[in-house]
Amino acid sequence: MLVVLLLLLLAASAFAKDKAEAGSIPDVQLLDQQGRPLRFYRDLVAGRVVAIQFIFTTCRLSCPLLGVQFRKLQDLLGAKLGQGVELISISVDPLVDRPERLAAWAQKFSARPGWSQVTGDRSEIENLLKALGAYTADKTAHTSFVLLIDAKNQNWKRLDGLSSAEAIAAEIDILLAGK
Amino acid sequence: MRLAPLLLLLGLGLKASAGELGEAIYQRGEGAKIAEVQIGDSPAGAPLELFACQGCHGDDGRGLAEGGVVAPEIRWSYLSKPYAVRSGPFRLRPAYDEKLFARALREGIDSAGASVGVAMPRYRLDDAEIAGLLAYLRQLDQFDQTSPFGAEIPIGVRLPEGQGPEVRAALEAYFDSINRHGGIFERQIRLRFLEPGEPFSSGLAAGLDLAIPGSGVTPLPPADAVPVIALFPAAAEPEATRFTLYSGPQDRAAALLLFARRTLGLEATNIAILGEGRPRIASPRVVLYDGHDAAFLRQNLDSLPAGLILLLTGWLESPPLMDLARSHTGPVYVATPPTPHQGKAGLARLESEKRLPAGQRMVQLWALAAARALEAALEKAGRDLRPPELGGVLEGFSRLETGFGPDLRFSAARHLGARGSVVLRLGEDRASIADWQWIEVADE
Repeated sequence: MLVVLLLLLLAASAFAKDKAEAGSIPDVQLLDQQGRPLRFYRDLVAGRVVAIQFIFTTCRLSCPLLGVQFRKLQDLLGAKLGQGVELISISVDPLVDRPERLAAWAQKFSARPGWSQVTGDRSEIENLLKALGAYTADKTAHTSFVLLIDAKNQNWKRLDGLSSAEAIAAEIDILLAGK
Repeated sequence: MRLAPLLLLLGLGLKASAGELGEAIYQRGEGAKIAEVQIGDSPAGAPLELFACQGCHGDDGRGLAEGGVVAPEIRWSYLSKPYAVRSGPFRLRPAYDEKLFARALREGIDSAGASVGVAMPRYRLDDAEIAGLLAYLRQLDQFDQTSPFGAEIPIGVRLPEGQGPEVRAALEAYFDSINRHGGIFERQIRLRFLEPGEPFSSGLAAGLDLAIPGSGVTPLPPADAVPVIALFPAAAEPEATRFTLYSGPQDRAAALLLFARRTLGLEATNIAILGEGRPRIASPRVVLYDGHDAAFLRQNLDSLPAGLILLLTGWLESPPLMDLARSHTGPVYVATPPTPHQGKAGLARLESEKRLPAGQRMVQLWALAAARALEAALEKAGRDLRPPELGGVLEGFSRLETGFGPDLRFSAARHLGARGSVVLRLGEDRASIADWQWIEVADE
């Protein structure tokens, strides 16, 4: 009985690892705001706690609010930013949001290293958004939630991206403490 | 007696300047002494220019919805309605007055005493700035800002080199027919044919870029404010406001491969793709050539058994290739952009009203498909047509039948309407088309 249970547990943990690295979070090829190519999972997520928001640079209503929340969040995170915690803004309008546009957008919110803005090939971005549960056919209907992922412990949380940077920071601390 | 007109003039002058200040704050987030807003409970400020009123409430004050956030109408006639209006799904609020308006801006409390919500920043405006803003909200009531266009909708057209007169005649026939039937929302379409190199300027409602890339055509500068419908993808970076009808040559080989597998029932191992670095197939049944060099193709065909199926992409652009295809003894299939075979319905309808020039039917057809897409977008945009919104309207067409070619499908992430190719089978006489079909190529 114990052996069976152990086998099941082993199988479950192997499945969870596989799910995170290969299935749930596709390791898609992206470009950051400097135009540098990177892999989403390997370069931004693996081994870290990440907060992900979904934006587009021509959005005038919710995205400036989301940008301000991440600006506050990076201040609240302090030295943790880029040291095990990453902030990621994924463009839901990759056709328009080329790296230079993302860089200009990030500059408005004084984004520091550790807060990446990413775009990419349209189909890669669509795959990524679908995997993260944030895909909408109409970019103006994009989600305003913030997705927290603790890649080590397979923990995902969704928070309201418009409500409070302090609440997001507190959840990040809980995830970090759980490591 | 003489003082009264002077005071009136002074009063008007003061009002105008208050309105100007209000306009600067409303439209651009400029002009306030403290150029900072506060979001939520956080004491840290954010730049006012990122949170100008028009960003959320629209440049006409009628409100917008985006990303799950709904910003209500804030024209003064609406805010000050003398009866309770709905505020959110379950609440009613009374009318605003100047004091309640100031409280909403500074403290985020609406006229019913409830929070206006997390998406509305707190504005640190002084009394004069709030008075200016209020004056501007009153102006928004008076001005009809629904559409910058009067009785005419100006459309810029870049004609293709070499086929200009025929395409121009087809477009004029098409829009003339619309205008004679009352136009679009009682506005007449006015075509403005651009000079070579002339950009799509901001006074236009939209543009039709009918140049065919690759024939020495120089790309135009981006037309950020004017949505443009083009025939084929240009080499330049994709633009937010540019929409393209059909695939370029790059999708034709993919369409032929799909055709060979699906329609001819062939495996990849039966298909020899000619070109540098391509693997050699021992005994192919099909030869696919995705180039224009007839001599190269001849050399390769000579080394293979006669009578193989030949698949070509560059047939239209290369007369020597056309000649070679005509002398080939086996079946010949060629991939082309949409042909008049696909636009029969639309052409017949237009022919019944006006005779079209006999020459350059294919390019006429492409231009007419672009014209139809534009007409559909103008119809859907409605009476309140504004150019920046036309792009969003085009993005909303999940299936647009033009009658002049394959159906178009646009979205925010897809500005290429029909991805694929026509595949024609040359007739036995090598002068006629025996058969044709449209092969759609899936997005990557």
